[in-house]
Amino acid sequence: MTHDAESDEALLGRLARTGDARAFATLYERHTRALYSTALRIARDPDVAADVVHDTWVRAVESLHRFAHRSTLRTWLTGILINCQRERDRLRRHDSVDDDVSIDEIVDATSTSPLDASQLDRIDLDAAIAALPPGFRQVLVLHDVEGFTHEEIADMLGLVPGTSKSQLARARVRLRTFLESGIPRTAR
Amino acid sequence: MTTEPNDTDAGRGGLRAHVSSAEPPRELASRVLGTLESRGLVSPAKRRGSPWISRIAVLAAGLVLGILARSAFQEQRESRGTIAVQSPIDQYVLLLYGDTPGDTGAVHVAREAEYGRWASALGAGVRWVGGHELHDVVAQFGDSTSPVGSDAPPERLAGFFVIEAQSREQAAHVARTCPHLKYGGRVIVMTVAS
Repeated sequence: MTHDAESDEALLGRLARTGDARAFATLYERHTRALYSTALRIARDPDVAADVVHDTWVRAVESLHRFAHRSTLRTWLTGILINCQRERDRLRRHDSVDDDVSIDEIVDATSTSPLDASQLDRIDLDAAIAALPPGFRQVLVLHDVEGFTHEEIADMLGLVPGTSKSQLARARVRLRTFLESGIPRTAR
Repeated sequence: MTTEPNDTDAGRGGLRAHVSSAEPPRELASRVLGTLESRGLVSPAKRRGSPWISRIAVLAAGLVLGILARSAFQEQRESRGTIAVQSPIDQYVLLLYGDTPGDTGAVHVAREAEYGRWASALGAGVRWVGGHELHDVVAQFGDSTSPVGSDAPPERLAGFFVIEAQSREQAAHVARTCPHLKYGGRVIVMTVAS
């Protein structure tokens, strides 16, 4: 059997037991593109995104024994990536990534529904997502772009699922405002 | 825009097809692998046959063929009385001395990434062979090398890198760019006996 046909679990087992670099290379090729896309959308800087993905893989291989197979490997890796990203944010800004998120924002049921992006310009959508405050951006990217559930996001971010849902609702309101009224200069 | 309720996972992944995608930088793979190898987390000897190694094998085969062709060319030149100028590849070890201030926790992670970036871009003609961060002294035997009468503790060896370079000057140039210096450490370059 070639490595490409093996499951993530089998490759992880081989990597953990023998340090098999071929197993690692296959896992890397399977998951790095998604990890890098997530990191880039959240960090907005290609160099930082590459550093975060590097740190994610190193930390993941160092702590393979902690992977309990309760989630998919991609979910576990993305959780590590989010933690690496947050550590970098704290280093750079010496504060929490959520400090710029207002919890008093007025939310109504209509404006928090999922966006129909079929009519949206890709560049406008990229720019609007990038302009979101970090806390909103993380949740919106993880849910609406990467497709993780609120349960998974809550686990990654150390929240309860309800908080993930309310953050997403507010993020959608802000995103909709940016797309309809333009991105304010202060958000760029 | 739709009017689906928001109390479920509605809209999950709905924007994926409508946003730009990006490829990770090519050098990232070798950087990650280099770090994992330097920490003993993957075995370099077991990489034969991987997609990366296949490419490396092709490059190595090309290199061998190039060396053979060059040797044949040099023999031909020498037989005509021409002196061939060679650039021998030698190994050098860069010994990193001294603890750098504040190198703990997340700062440590960030600095490791910086050292990794440096190790993956040493410049043309220089190849990173390996390296490790060093931690605790497990035991020490033999006479102390500290000067007699000195109370100062011996400087800690924090890590090492092994590189291949074409000259002592090139190895020294690489050492001058090592981030360890920026954080107050000291780097000593030594030749490796061949």
